[in-house]
Amino acid sequence: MRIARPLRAGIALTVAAASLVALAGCAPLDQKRILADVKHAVTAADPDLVGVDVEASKDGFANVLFVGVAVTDDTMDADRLRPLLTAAVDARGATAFDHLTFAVFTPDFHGDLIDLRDDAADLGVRAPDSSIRDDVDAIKKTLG
Amino acid sequence: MTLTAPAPASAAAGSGIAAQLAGGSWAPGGAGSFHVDFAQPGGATVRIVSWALEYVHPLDQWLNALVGDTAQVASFARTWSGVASTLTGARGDVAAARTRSASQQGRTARAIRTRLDDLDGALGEAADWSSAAAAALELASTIVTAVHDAVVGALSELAGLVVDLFGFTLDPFDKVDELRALVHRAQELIRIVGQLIDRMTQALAQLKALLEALQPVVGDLLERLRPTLAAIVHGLGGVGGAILGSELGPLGVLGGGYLGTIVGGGAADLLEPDRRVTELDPSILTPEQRAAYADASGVTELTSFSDLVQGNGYADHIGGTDRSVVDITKIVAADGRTRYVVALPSTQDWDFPGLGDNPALNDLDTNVALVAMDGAGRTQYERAVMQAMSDAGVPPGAHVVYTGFSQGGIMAASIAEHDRTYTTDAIVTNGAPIGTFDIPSTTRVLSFEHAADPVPVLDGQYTDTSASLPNHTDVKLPNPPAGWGPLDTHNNQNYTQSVAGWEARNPDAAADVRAMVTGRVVDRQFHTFHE
Repeated sequence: MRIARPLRAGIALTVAAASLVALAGCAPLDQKRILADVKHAVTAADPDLVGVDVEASKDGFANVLFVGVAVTDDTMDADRLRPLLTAAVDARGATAFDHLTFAVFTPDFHGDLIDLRDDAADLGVRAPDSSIRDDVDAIKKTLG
Repeated sequence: MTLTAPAPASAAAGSGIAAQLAGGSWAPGGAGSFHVDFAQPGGATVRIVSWALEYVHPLDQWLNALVGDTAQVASFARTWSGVASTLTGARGDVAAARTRSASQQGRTARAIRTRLDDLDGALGEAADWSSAAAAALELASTIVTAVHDAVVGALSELAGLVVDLFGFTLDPFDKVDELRALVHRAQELIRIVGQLIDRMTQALAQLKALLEALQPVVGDLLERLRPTLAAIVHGLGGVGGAILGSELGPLGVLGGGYLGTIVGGGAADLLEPDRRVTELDPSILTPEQRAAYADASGVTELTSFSDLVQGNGYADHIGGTDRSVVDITKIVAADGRTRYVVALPSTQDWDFPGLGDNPALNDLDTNVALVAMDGAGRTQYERAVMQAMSDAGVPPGAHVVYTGFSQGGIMAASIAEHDRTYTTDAIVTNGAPIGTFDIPSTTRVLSFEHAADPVPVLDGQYTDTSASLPNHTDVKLPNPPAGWGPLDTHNNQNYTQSVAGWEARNPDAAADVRAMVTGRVVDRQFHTFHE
C-alpha cells in the first residue's frame, strides 16, 4: 500500500500538469465579443481606413491579438498610427490578450505591407519587422 | 484461355484476383503438364552435368536465369504463407478482444466494438488474398522445379549421347549414325525445352500480372486500416487511463481517462497515414497569416540567430491552426556552403479532448508522440516535413539546419536523430525539450531556454549538456522583461528579443553555427499540409 501512495501522487500530479497545460492552451473568455469590440474601436478611430481585420492566435502559451488595417495610399505615419494602436489596446477586453500584432496593408489585405519600423520607433513600441509586435500592456503603458 | 488482371483497386476486385490466383487458372494444365521424362543414359552422365552446373561458373547462373530460381520462388511462397498465418492469428486476437469488450457498456465501448468488427472484416479479406497468393506461388515453385529438372534431364541425355559418340568402337562408320542420332535428339530436346520455358514464362507473366493487380488492393486495405487502428488506440488510451485513474476515485477516473485519451492520441498519431503536402498558395491566407507571409518573404539575408528565431514565428503565424507550414530557405551561407534552413512550426492546435481537432498537424497529439514515444515510429508531422523537403527540391545529402520553437524544436531534434537522407549540420531550437534525443556528434546543437520557461524541462532533463556533449551549446537566457510566467517565458516573440540581446552581449559565441545559418537568401518556399 505504501508503494501505491507515490503512484497515486504521481498520477494526480500528471493529471494536474496536463490540466494546467490545457488551460494555457485556452483562448480568452468571450473571445469573439472582444474581437468585435476591438474591430469597432479601430474602425471608429479612423474613418478613412479601407478595411479592418481582427484575429486571435497563439504564440507559445501567449494569446496574440492581430489587428490589420488597409489604407488606399502610403500615408501612414506615427500621428495616424497612434490613435489606431490606442483604440486597439483600450478596447474592452483587449488586455485579455498578451501580445498585439499590428499591420498596415495597401491598398487592400492582398496588397503590400507598409513598413512600420520608423513610425513604431517614434512611438516607442517594438516593430521587429514591417509589423508592430509588442506586449498589449507595454503598448498601453507607452501610449498612455 | 485469357486472363486479365483487373485495373481498379477495390475489395471486389481483390476477391476476383484471389479466386484466379488460388484456382491456378493462370497455369494451364497445372504443374503436371510441365513435367517431362527423359531417358537416363546412366548415373555417370547425370553426375557430369551436376558437376558442370556446380563448378563451371556461370553455368549455374545461366540455368537459374533461364528457368527461374526455384529456391527464390519457394521463398516468396513461404513469405506469403507467413503473412496469411499472421493475419489469421491477428484475426483471432481481434475476436478475443471483441469477446472481452462484450460485457463493457457505454458509448466508447460500443465504438470500440464497431471498430473491432471493421478490423475483423478487413483482416479476413487480407488473409484470403494472402493465402491465395501463397497457393499460387507454391504452384509456381512446383512448375519452376519441374522445368528446371526437365532442363537438367535434357542436358544429361545429351551428355550421354556425347559420351557414346566418343566411346571406343571398331567400326568408324557407326560414329556417323551416332552423330546423326545426337543431332536429331539435340534438336528435339531444344524444341521440347524451348516450349516448356515459353509456357512457363507465359504462366509466370500471368501470375505476375495478378500479383501486381493485388498490390493496390492490399495498399488500399492498409490505408483503410490505418485510421481504424488509430481510432482504436485513441479510444483504448482513454479507457486504460480511466482504469488507472480509478485508483484515485471518481475524479481519478475522469482525470485518468482525460490523460489516457491524450496519450492515446499520441499513439494514434503514429498510425495516421501520410498527408498530402503542397506548396502554399498565399491567396488562401487570412490577413494575419498574409502579414506574416509578407514579412517572411521580404527577408533577403539571415544575419543572426534571432533572425532564425523570428523565422520560427513566421512559420507559426502563416499556418496557425488551419494548416502546418514548413519554411524552407535556401541560403549561400557565410561558411561558403549552399545550405537549407528549415523552420518547423510549434504547437498551434491544442486538441485537448472535448476541444476538437483543428487541421494543423503540429498539435498536441504530435507533441505527445514526439516526447513520450520517440523511437516507436515517425509522426505524420515528421513524415510530411520530409515530403515537403523533397518537393522543395532539396537534394539527398544536402546540408541542412533545422530550427524550431517548442514543438518545432522537438521535431528538429527528432529529425536530427533519425534522418540520414540529408546532412544535418545543426539544429537551433528555442523553448524546446530536446534533452532525451540521441543526436549524432556530427550535428551541432544550439538550444536557447528562458530561465523560467517550464517547457524545455518537460522531458525531465535539467542538466546543461554543453560540458558533457561537445557538439551541444545550451544557452540559458534571462527571463524577458515582461515577466517570468509561462505566458511570457514560453513565447517566440520574447525569445526573438532575448536571443538578440544575448548575441549583442556575446558576439563570438557559437561562431561555427552562426557561419552555417547566416548568409544571403537565394530561395524561400513554404510547403503546407493538414489533417
